[in-house]
Amino acid sequence: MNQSFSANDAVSIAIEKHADMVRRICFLYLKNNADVEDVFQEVFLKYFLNNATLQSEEHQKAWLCTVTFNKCKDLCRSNWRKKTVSIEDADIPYYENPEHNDLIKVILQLSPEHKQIIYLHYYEGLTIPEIAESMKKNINTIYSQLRRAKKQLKEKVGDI
Amino acid sequence: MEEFKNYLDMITATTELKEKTKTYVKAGLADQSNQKTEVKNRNWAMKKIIVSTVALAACAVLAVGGYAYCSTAVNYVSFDINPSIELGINAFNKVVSVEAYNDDGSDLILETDVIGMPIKQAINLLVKEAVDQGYMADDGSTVISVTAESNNEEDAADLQEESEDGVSEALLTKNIQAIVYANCSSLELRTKAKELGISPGKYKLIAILCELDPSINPEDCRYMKITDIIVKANEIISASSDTDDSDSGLQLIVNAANQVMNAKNNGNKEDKINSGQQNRNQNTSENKLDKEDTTENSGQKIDKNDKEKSSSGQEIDDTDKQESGCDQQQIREQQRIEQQQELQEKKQQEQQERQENSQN
Repeated sequence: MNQSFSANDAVSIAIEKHADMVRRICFLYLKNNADVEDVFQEVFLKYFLNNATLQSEEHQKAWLCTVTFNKCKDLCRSNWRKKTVSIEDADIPYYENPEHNDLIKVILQLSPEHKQIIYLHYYEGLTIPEIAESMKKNINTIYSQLRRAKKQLKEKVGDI
Repeated sequence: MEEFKNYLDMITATTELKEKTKTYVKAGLADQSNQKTEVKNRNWAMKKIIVSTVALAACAVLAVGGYAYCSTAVNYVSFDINPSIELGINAFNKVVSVEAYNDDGSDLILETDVIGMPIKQAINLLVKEAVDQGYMADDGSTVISVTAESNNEEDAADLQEESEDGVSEALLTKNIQAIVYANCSSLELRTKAKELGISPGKYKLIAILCELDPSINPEDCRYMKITDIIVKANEIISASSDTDDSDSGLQLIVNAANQVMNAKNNGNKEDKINSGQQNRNQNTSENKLDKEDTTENSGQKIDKNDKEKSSSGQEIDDTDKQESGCDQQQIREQQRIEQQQELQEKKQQEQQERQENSQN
């Protein structure tokens, strides 16, 4: 990944490569396109300004993942965005199956931390120690948070 | 969880979003420094408010706390002659409060502003003022009691030393002698003294006095001068042989009382000399004016001595001596007057002889 201004291709490539992942994380946290756009722009700009230290592809992905999570959480936390839009009003594409919608709805209602762990564990397939490292937390904390998140899901949706 | 995965798989970034981001990032990179500051500025605006609020709050807390710390008296120095005053001292050994425990004390502090002064200077000023207002006996028999009150023994010792220095410097500049009775006590004593409405220094002495003689009522001692309390305590100590001499508190009192007695004795001697001189001066001048007035003058003198007698009962013997001295002086004066009369007669005779001679 080159930082020079002529390397527009590099920017395009990177965005193409990671846009879907960033979009998914945004989906977990944000409810309107304007916020998603904000996060995209900030995350990728930050990425191109800071990626000198990132060596491998894995590192870049992990970095983007963490930065996106943090950005999304920041946005959720900001005062002027506390007036949350309900999920029905959000312009997010829904899967047709109503059953699935239930699960997704419940996941979206989890706390930001739990959402992050669920996403990293079940979607990205990271192990608990890896999640702990990326979130800079104790392994046991992650274990118990995951257990709690699963419990909540079970209570509301039944079997996962 | 497969469903969750599948669902998320379906979510993709739209081309529109990607394009927008690309243009934004490219523009951002091209205008790198500007963008940086813009992003920073956006964060900074919020941070600025938070930081300034926190800073303001911290300043306010510090200011209030600092003021409270500076203006709260942690230790006290009680200062008694007859005027009873208590000075509140803050953590920096500066006077922050002055409280008078009797009318003389209020008179004294009315004239002096010692707030904000170091304790030494404040005591210095108060002693000088006390001298000016005439609370100190000329014979040096007055006891100045300075009591440092603190729960910290080191602090108390320091305060005591400072105050003692202040008193002795003031006495030196005013060229007057007095006995300094300096001691220290805990703040516990202060609360007890406050209940009775007397200064802790005085209370401590009264407490000692009452301990020595349980028949004394503390209320009676309330208006006594420090000097008198010390003298009385000494009388009781010397009267009862079974008191423990090793007690440093009592020892201090005995020492102070002895100093008082010495000072009084010396002072009386001086008084005698002084009054003698004055009498002589008066008499000589009056002789010049009118010889026959001497009887009246001597009458005045006797009145004077009577006043002295009534004012100090302890000094009856001394005044008696003075009286007898005065009698002798009167005799001497009469002799002198007779001599002068003789001289004048001689002169007149001589003049008459001269006149006769000249006539002849």
